[in-house]
This record gives sequence, C-alpha cells and structure tokens, in this order.
Amino acid sequence: MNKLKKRLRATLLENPAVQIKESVMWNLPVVTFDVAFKRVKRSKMDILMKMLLLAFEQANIRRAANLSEMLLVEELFIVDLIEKMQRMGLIHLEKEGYKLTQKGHEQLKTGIIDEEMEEEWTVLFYSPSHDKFWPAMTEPVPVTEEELSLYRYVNNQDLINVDRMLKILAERENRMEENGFQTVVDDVKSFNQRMVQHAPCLEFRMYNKEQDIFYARVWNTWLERWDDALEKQIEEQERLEWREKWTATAEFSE
Amino acid sequence: MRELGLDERSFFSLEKSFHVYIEKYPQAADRLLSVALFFDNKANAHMADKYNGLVIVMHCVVEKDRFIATNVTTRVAHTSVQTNWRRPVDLTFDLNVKRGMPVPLDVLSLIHEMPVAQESSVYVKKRIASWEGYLKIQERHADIPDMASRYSGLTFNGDFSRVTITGCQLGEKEWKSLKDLSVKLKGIDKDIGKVLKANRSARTVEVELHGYMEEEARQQRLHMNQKEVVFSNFATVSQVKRLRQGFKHLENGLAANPELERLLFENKPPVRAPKRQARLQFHNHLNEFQQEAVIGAMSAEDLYVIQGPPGTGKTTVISEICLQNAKVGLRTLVASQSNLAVDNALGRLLANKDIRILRVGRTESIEEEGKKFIEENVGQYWKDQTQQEVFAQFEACKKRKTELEAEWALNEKEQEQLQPVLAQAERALEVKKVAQKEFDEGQSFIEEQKKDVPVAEQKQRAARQQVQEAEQALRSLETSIEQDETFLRDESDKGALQKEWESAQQLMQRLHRVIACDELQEEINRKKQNIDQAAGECEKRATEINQTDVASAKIAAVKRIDGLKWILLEHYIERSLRAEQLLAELDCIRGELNQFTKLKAYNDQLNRAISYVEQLFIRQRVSIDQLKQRAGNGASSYRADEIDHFLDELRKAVKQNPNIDVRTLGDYLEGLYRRRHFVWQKAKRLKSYDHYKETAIETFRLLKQEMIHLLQQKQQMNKVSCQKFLQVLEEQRAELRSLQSKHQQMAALQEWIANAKEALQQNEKKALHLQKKKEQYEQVERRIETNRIERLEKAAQLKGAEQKLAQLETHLKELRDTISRKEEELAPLHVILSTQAEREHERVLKHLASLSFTRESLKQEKQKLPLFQSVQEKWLSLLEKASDHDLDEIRKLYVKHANVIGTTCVASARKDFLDNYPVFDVVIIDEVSKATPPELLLPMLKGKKIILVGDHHQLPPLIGNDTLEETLQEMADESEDFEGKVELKKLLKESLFERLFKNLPKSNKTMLAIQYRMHENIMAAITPFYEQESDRLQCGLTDSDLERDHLLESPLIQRDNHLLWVDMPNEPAFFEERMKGGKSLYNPAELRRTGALLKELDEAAAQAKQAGRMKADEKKSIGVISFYGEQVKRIDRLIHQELRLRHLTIRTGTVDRFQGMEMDVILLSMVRNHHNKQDDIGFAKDYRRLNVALSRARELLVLIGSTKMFTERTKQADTRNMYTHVLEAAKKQHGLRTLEEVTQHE
Repeated sequence: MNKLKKRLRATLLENPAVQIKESVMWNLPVVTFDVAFKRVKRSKMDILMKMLLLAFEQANIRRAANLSEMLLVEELFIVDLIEKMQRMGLIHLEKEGYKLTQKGHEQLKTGIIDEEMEEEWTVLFYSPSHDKFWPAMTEPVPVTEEELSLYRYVNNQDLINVDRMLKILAERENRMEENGFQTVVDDVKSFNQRMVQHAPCLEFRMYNKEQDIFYARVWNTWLERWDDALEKQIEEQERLEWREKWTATAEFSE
Repeated sequence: MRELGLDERSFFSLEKSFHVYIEKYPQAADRLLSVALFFDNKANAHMADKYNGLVIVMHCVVEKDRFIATNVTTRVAHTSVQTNWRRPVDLTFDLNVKRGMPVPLDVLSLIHEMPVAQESSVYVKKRIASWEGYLKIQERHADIPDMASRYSGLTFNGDFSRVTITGCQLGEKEWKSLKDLSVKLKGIDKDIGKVLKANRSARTVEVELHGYMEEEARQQRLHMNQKEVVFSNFATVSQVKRLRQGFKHLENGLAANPELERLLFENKPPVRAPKRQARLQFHNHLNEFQQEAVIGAMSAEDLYVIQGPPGTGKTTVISEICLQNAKVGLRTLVASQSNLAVDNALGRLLANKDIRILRVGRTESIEEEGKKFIEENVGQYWKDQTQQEVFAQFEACKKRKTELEAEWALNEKEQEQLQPVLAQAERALEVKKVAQKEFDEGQSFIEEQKKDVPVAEQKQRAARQQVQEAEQALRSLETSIEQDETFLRDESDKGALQKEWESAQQLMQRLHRVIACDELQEEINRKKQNIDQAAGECEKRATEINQTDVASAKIAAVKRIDGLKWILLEHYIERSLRAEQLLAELDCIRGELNQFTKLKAYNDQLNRAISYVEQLFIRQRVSIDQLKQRAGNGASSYRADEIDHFLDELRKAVKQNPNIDVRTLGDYLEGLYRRRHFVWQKAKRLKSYDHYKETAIETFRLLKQEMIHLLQQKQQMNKVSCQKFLQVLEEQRAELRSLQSKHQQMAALQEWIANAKEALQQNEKKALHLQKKKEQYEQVERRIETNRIERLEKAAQLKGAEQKLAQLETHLKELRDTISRKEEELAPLHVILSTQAEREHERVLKHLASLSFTRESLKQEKQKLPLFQSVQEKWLSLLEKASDHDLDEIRKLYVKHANVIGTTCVASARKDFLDNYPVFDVVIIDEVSKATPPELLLPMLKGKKIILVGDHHQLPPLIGNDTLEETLQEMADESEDFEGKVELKKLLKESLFERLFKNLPKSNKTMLAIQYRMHENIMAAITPFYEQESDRLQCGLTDSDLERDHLLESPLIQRDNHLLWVDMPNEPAFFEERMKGGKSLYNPAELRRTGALLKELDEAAAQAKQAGRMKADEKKSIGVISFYGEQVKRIDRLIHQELRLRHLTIRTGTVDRFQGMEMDVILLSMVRNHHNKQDDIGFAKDYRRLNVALSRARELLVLIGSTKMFTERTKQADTRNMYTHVLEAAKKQHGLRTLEEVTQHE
C-alpha cells in the first residue's frame, strides 16, 4: 500500500506547481449481492416481426396503416417487415387480409415459446456512493497495516430494485446461440445482500500555486483509477475549508 | 480503344443502348460542335464489368448524321458521371456510317440547349474566389509537417481536462507553430487533444484533452513507457480539404440543386416562385410568424431563409418543418456549424413516430442531448419512445372503455330526448307553413288592392279637377253674359243705325256719278293733245321725203368721190357695209396711183441724168455696157430722199468739175443704173395706170349706185310711216267725238258737286264705322244667346262631375278599409312566421345526425377496442422483454428509414456520410450566421431545397477560439500582404446570410418576431437592434411578471427588477488589467463584485426556498459571462475555488460561446474600464456581441461595468448610443445600482 501511495505521490508531484497539502486513506463500502436468475432460450425472431405475426393471426388486417395505428409503429417499418415476411413465405395476402402460412404458424409457435433454462446464480458488486454496479475486482485489494475508517460521505439510500438487476444481468448474461436462438435473462428470482466489502482509497488534498486552486485526488483501488465521483463529492464539501485553513497558515507562515 | 483491349464493334455490342451523360465543350467559330460522352459505369452493367468499373469518356465531334469519336479516355471508377453541367441520355450506336441516318433531333437540340460545362465551372470559380479568404485563414498552418518529440512527463490539471507535457524537445520554429495542433502519444491510437499553449522556455506544452481521454487519464493509461509525442495538424488539414472539396463540387456541377451557385452568388438570387402555398396542419403550437415561416419553408422550391432573433422559437420551427417533411415522405438534413447546435436542435424535435432522427458524427463529440439519436442508441430510443406511447394509449384505452359505455348511453339518451323535440319542431314547421301560405295569400290580396288605390286616387284627382274646371267655366260665362247685357243696354237702337247707314249710301252714289263726269272731261282733253301731236309727225315725214329726193338727184349727178362724201355728210346718210368697202377700195386705188406717178417722176429724172452721163462716156469713148450689166445684177433698195440726194451730188459734181474723170463718173453712172433698176423693179410690181383708172371709175359707179339704193330704201320707210300717222290721226278724231257726246249726256243728268272726291272718302269712312257697329251689335246679341245655352250645359256638367267625385271618394274609402281590415287579419300570422321553426328543425336534425355519426364511430370504436387492447397488451409485454438482438433489428430498420439526419456542416462532407446520404430533399441549416460560407456550402450541396435559419444580428463565425476579427488582426500582424483580406472584410460586414435575407423576395423569407425567452423588460434592451427589420421584436409572454418571475429578493435585487446595471466607477481602483504575457484583459474589481453578487443571489435563493417560493431541491440557473476569456477563466476559478453556492447551478463562458444558450439569470462582466485616451472598448463595440450578451437571460440580467466608460468614454457615437439605450432602459426600470448603494449593503 505504501508503495502504491509513493508511486501516486510521485506522479502527482511531477507538476512542480502543485503541493500535496495532506493525504488520507479510507475504505469505500462495496455491497455484494447474491443473485438468483433465470435465463430462457428464445427464437431470434425479433419482437416486431413476432408482434406482426400475432396480429395477423388475431385479426383481419389488410393495410400496414391499420397496424401502424394499433402498434404506434412507423408504417414504413411495417411495410418493410411485411415484405420481408412475404419473401420468407411466412405470410400471404388473402381477401380479408394477411394470413399466416403453414411456415408462419410454425415459426410463430417457436417464436413465442420460451424454453426455460436452469436457474443460475451470480454475484454483483454495487457501490452506493456511485450508485453503480462494478465488475469484480481483478486484483486483490492491497494490504494495509492500519485499520481504515469508512468513507465519510457514504450514501445509504437504497436504490436497488429488480429492474436494475435485470438490466445489468441482461448486459452481462445475454447470449446469441446458434440455430437462430438466443438466451436471454428473463427473470431475477431473488437477490440477497451478502456482505459489504471495503475498497481502500487514497485521498490527496492538492494545491496548485500557479492557479491558486485547491482540489482533491482520490485513487480508487477497486477500479484502479482516479475516482472523479469521489473527488467531486469531497471537493464540494471541503474545498472552502481547505482554502481557509491553508491560506491562513500560508499567510501566517510567510 | 485498342489500348483498352477492345475493338469498336465489340465495345458497342456490350450494351443494347448505353446510358450516357453528355458534356458540351466550349464552342468556337472555327471549330465544330464537340461533346464528351461519359458512359455511366453503373447503369451500363456489362461495360462496367468489362472495364472494372472505369468510367469511359468518348470525345466526339457532333455532325448532323453522326458522332465522330476523336479520342477515348478513361476515368477512375469513383468519378462522378452525373453532374449539373451534363445531360443524361440513352444512346444506341449504329456503326454503319453508310446508312446515313440523321442523329435524332431530340439529341441535337438537347446538346444545343445544354450549358457548356467549362463555362459554368468558370462562373463558379470566379464567384467562389471571394470565399478564398476563409480557407486561407484555416490553411495558415496547413503546410506544417508532423512534429515528433520526446518528453519527460505528463501532468494533469484538477479535472483532467488538460495535460501539460513537460520536457519537450522541439526546434525553435516548431515551438511557434504548435498552437491548435492535435496531439498524439505514441502507444495510444486516438488523439489525446489539441495544443492550447506552448511554453518554449519551460519546454512545456499545455494540451486540452478530448472528453473521451479523461477516463484514460484517470486510469493512468496515458503514462507510456516510450515517451514520444507527435503534433500534427491532420484535423485542420482534413477539414480544409473538405471545404476545398466543397468548392470543387460546386465547380463541377455536383450540387443537388442545379441552381445552387446562382442562388449563392447572384445579387438577386433567382429563386423559383413557390408553386402554391402549402396548407398545413401544425403539430407544434406556433405563432403567426412561425406559421408563416413553416408554410413558407414548405412551399418554397429551392431556398428559404428564416431570421430568428433570440428566443423566438427557431427550433420549434425547425422541428415543425422536419415533421411536415416526414409526413410527406421527405428526408431532411439538419446541419449546423457546431455539434452543440446540432444536438440542441435535434433534442428539441417533437417526439413523433413519423420522425426518425439519426445523429451522425463522432460519438465522442456529440452532446448528451444528441446521444440518444446516434446509431447505436436509436434502437433503444425507439423502443423507449414506442413503449411509452403504447403504454399511454393502452392506459387510455382502459379508461376509454368505461368512457365509451357512458358516451354510448349518453348518446342513446340524447337521441331519445331529441325525438319529441324533433316532432315538436316538425309540427311547428307545419304550422308555420300553413301560416305562411295564408299570409302569402292575404299579402297578395293586399298587394292587389293596394295597386287599385293609386288608380282610384288618380281618378279622384281628375274628377276633382273636372268639377273645378266646370265651376270656373260657369263663372266666366256669367261675367261674359253680364258684360254683354250692359253693352246692349248702353248702346243706341238698331233701327237708327240702319237709317243713318242708308242715307250715307245714297250720298255716296251721287258723289260717284259726279266724279265719273269729271273724269270724262279730262279724257277729252287728253285726246285733243294726242291729235295735235300726230298731225306734227305727219308733217315732219313729208319734209324728209322731199330732202331724200334731192339727195338722190345730187348723187346721180356727182362725178368725184370727194363730192360724194360731202353729200353723204350733208344728208346724214348712213353708210352701209358695202359702201364702206367700196370707199376703202377707192382709197387703195388712189394710193397705188400716187406711187405710180412718183416712180414715173424718178424714172424721168434718172433717165435724164443717165442720158447726160452716157453722153459724157460716149464722148470719152468708154463702154458702158459693162456698167449696165453690173448694175442689173445687184439688188439694192433705195429710199426717195436718198435718190434725191444722189442726184444732187451728181449734179454738184458735174457742175464743179465738167471734166470729171471717167472712173468717178463710172461710179455715178453705175449708181444711176442701180437706182433706175430699183425704180424699174418697183414699177414692175404695179399694174398699169389705165387699169387703176378703170377700176376706180367702176368702183365709184358702184358706190353711187349703192348710195342711191340706200336712199330709196329710206324714202320708202318714210312714206309708210307718214301714211301710218295719218291713219292714227283719223282714229283719234273719231274717239274724241264720241267722248264729247258722252260728256254732254252726263253733265245734263247730274248737278255738279264741288270737292266730290273728298266728300266721298269721308262718307265711306262713316259708312264703314256704321257697318262695324251694326255687326258688333249683332255679334253681342248672338253671343249672349250662345252663352246662355252654354251656361245651361255647364251647369248640367258640373252636377255630373260632382256626382262622380262623390262616387270615387266612397270607392277609395272602401278600398282603404278593405286593406286595413286584411292587414289586421294578417297581424297574428306574423308571430307565427317570426318563429325560427326551420332553423330549430334543422338544428335538431343536425344534432341528430351528429349523434348518429358519433354513435357510428362509437360503435366502431367499441368493436375495435378489445382488439386494440389485446394487441397492445401483447405488444407492451414484448417490448418490455426486448433484448439487444431485438433492438439491433429495430436499429437496422430505423437507420434505413431515418428521415431527419443531424450532423455538423463539416461532417456532412465526410466520405462515409456522402456515400450513405448523397442527397436530401431538404437541408436545414441552423445558426447559419455562426458558420463561414465554405462551411455552409457543404450541407447546401446536398439539398434540393435549402432552409437557412439564423440571425445576422448575432455573432458571426468563430475560428478556433477566436472571432474572425481577432484572427484577421492576427493575420494582418503576421503578414501585411494577406490576399483575401479585403474580400473577407467585405464579407464580415455583410454575411452571406444577411445578404440572402435582404435580397430574397418576401415569399422566401420570414423574420420570427415574437420572442418567448426574455422578460419584456430585458427585451427592451435589445429591441433597437431589430428596428431596421420589417417587423418589430415583440414579447410573446402573456404576463412577463408572472412567467418570468425570478422569485429572488435581496438588498440589490427586488422582485420587479429584471434589468440591472451595477455601475463600476471609472476610476483607477476599478480599472481593467492585462494578463501577464498575454493579450486578454480582466477586471479584478468586477471579479470581486461578481463574486459578491453570486453570494447574494445564493442567499436570496435560500430565502426564496424558505419562503416557499422555490422548491427545496430546485436550483437557480445562472450564467456568468464576459466579453473577455481571461475574465471568464478567473470567474470560473472563483466560483469553484472560493464560493460555495448550494442553490445555484452556474455556467460560465464568453459571450461568444454563450450564443444559443439561455439561463434564468445572467451576470455580464463587462471588463473594459480605463482612462487611456487611445484605447476604446474592444470587442464590446460590436452590437451583435452586445445583442447576444443581453439576450441570454430569461428572468434577470445584471450588467457589471462602468456606465461612464461605456456610455461616455467610448469613441464612436453609435456605440455610445447603443450603451446609453441599455442604461436608459435600466434606469427606467429603477435598475441602476451605484457604488454607494452597493457598498451600503455589504
């Protein structure tokens, strides 16, 4: 940890105009969730085409405009798709409207039936201070000798819900299969907050003499980057105090 | 062609007919018409295949019956074949020349009429040269080669927006040209940013990082092992290249609108008149000007210009135009100079399923508002939008179901309720119809009667007149009779008159007789005189006869003519014509005889002389024959006196000298001969003397005879006349005798009365008078008689007329009575007729019809609703579960059908964009005044129709961070001989947009004159800038105080303050300062004041929240702006470093950067403040900059600066006036804050 700190200090001080007025270390809480979810195997037929097939099955529709009115979808899209489906031999035009062909019926059947898959589990990491899900840590947290305090501006609002979980899982777990199928996260069965992990952060309080500005630099060991969100939170709260404190002492010492 | 490996025959057999573009070469008198045929390398598939897509160009001479190919060349595959200077045509070639078929007339006339490509290009080249200057500016550093250098380290600033590269090793020249170059670090693919500042002495280069580099920097990925940096101006070069390419495209006729160059360069842009005014249904709420703009833009054929002052809803107009275009299936390009402006415009487009917006450009440079429209996000955007709409409609449907039932029931109820109303209405209508009929009949009866009234009245008048006339006549008869009777009474008796008249008659008869007797006596006297006269005449004739007898005897006896003449005179005998002739003849004979005697005398004389002279000759024995002969030959003429003279001379000569010499004598003799010869000749012409004598005697005898004859005639006449007179005398004497006996008889019968004639005249007069009197008397008597009879008649007539009049009067009264009775009868019908039965009936019917119409549509809706419900429910569930794959499919559809494309001007010329979107139906360019003409040209090239939106009263284009003026100044400093400078200055004065706006016809432009941004008090500050325009700038806010309430109250700011000027004294303590080593200015005093003001505003906002005027989580948006970049930088630092403003969100920037933005509150730090007589107020002079600065605030605008500096010390009067207007506006609103007021509150 000290090594890291030294390296960062050196980088920061490459600019001769800056001073590090102070530096501290603390832990940022990262919440771990155990999530149980279910994926389904589904035809790759896209939803609009599926919807059109369903509509043709259900009602007599001759004109794309009618569908456009019903689905609130651009007529051009529908015209395009109708042409495509006619080409593919899924539908054909009869007296009272478009009707599904044998092939169309079959495709629709496979299209609307989801093949359920086994329930799966995964772990998600969430930083309340950023309100963001984080990937798993790639490198182990550096060891610290001292006991670190928690980040002083932790946000304790509970902003997590199933939809957000589903979205993040979909991003990570949806797959394209062969044979015209895709596997899609369909449902979050359950999620449990398991434990809170701590991500150590190194905070430097900086002063640029040339520009007469104070600012914060926070190294986030989990993300391995200077963390702008945390810097901003700290600056907003403390920047004026810093100026008072160090400008006064500077004046005093001069 | 051989080089291409093909002979003619096989080339032309590649296609049945070729799709060819013809280009016309310049024509010259000494050259045949020639063209180039560009064979389309797409349409002619076989040919393209054969030649790997090369474009084949055949240069030809055109003749009537053939094209003669002079040369064949090829062009690379991507050459544009179709241009505005060429004309497409399908040609089939016939290689058999002998056939001699003519080239089709269509083709020839097409070639004849098409423009010459080269001429068109030259036209464009000439005009576009005036834009060269812009490129020159941008090209200043274009020729800089890439520069590489090692470096020692990178240090980032506080927010990783900049990096300073330390320890750079560059050449001296290189250091100078670093500014604005893009920066690349070895090991990193993308540029990290561009050079902001280079410090040679410190060997550092400050780089402004691209936004997407922040993340990299934070992860410390920019720290490379191999520390090498490359500076290049690739970005600038490629930008300039694109701009140049734009020029080239215009030159080569590649604009989508073939008239583009003329629209741009002609003084009067030749816009086509709109065919018809579009009729539109608007989807946004538009004011009159916005509607005009949209209608105008939709109707325009090629170019439309919209001037939009600040806050006038330009984007709304653009949005509406895009939607209208989408509705009619047109594709629109929305372009602007900056990414920000593009995203702003797109972000405010109406979400409508007909509009499919696609934002094209480098993802990293697209702002948040535009991000959802980039290709990778449109699937999601579409899904969100659709889901939202479907959900809303689905929910609405649910509600609708119950509503529908209620409406149905209501409809039925209403229909039921209406039935009796309808029946009633129908009844009323029937009643009215009957009433109407009755009324009509009555009315027509009345009309009829009324027609009789005037007739009757006329008759009445006539009768009355008759009565009056009869009375009058009677009266006059009475008087006449009365007068006549008096006359008769007064006049004497009739019998006396008769007697008197008879005695007068007798007297007159007597008188007549006496007069006749007198007259007879006179007659007798006259006769006696006549007889005496006739006796005298008789006597005269007898003496005349005697005289004539004497004369006759005398004439017979006379022997000489003179005697005869004397007798004629003596007896007054008239000479007859014959006598005159004879007398003349005699005179003539006498003349001839005289001549004869005279000649004879001369002859004798001469003969004597001759014989004398001849003797002389004979004496001398000289021959005289010769002389004689000679004299006989000549023909001379001589007068008498001359001969006398000659003889005298001869006599003298002979007398003086008796021995005269022969010669002289010869001469004389010859003269004598000659003269004798002349006399002889003359005598020869006369007749003999006896002849004359005989003739004279004969003539004389004839004359005498004639005379005697004449006298005898006269004698005869006298005798006859004498006879006649004797006879007359006899007759007269007989008459006299009878008269005398008649007189004796009369005188015996009648006693004589003296003066009978006079007495007769008097008597006649008296008799006439008496006659007249008698007649008058009789007349009066007759008259009295007739008058009496007439009186009786007239009296009878009068009576009749009076009766008739009475009858007529009763008739008239009856008529009037009938009419008024009928009218009274009809009166109650009026009430019925005045009811609106028809209208009521119609209304009820209409209502019923609309009810049944509603019912029908309700029925349809009722039928449709369940289907809608189920389909939409399904659709919603599908949408919810949409996977990335689904969105990807949607994305493909969306991109394919995108109809509003947004990109920056320069990006619209990128290769991939050109390929994907070669042409747009409509190109809308926003913030036109901020782009340079070359930039504008790029999107313009692509549009069939171009709509320009901008405001030339706002700022002109920026180049880099500098204004054009600054850049120009800089370039002028660098080199004196910058070519395009003059042109550029001209363009700066009047931009392309301004020129177009001024010169276009009314049908092709609009100014949006209603602004919705500013409180009207703020707007007051900028109205003068728009006073030159046709419409005044108006405020569209219905209640400015309510809608633009800033809700703040502080010592300096009251609720009703909207425009404040915080005055800074024009004293050294408040003066501007110049940045060390820089040119930009700042003002520390204003900086402090701005800081204090921000604090005050923050507190005021806090109070407003406490007082419940503002919501707790609300923040006031404040923009702090300045004319000077350095001041902005310092304000920025101040805000971030020294102020904690919890209730405000603040943005800072130069005025130029703020164009297009708006804020609730704007603080403007004006900076300029000094006593330097040479100096002025710099950028703040430009009214456009001031306009932008003043028009950013919605609710409150605070100017911080020296009023004295700007309104008094400024050099130009215009500028002073401009700022004085602002100051006056502020003062009027009680918005001037002086230093005392300000410090008082601190």
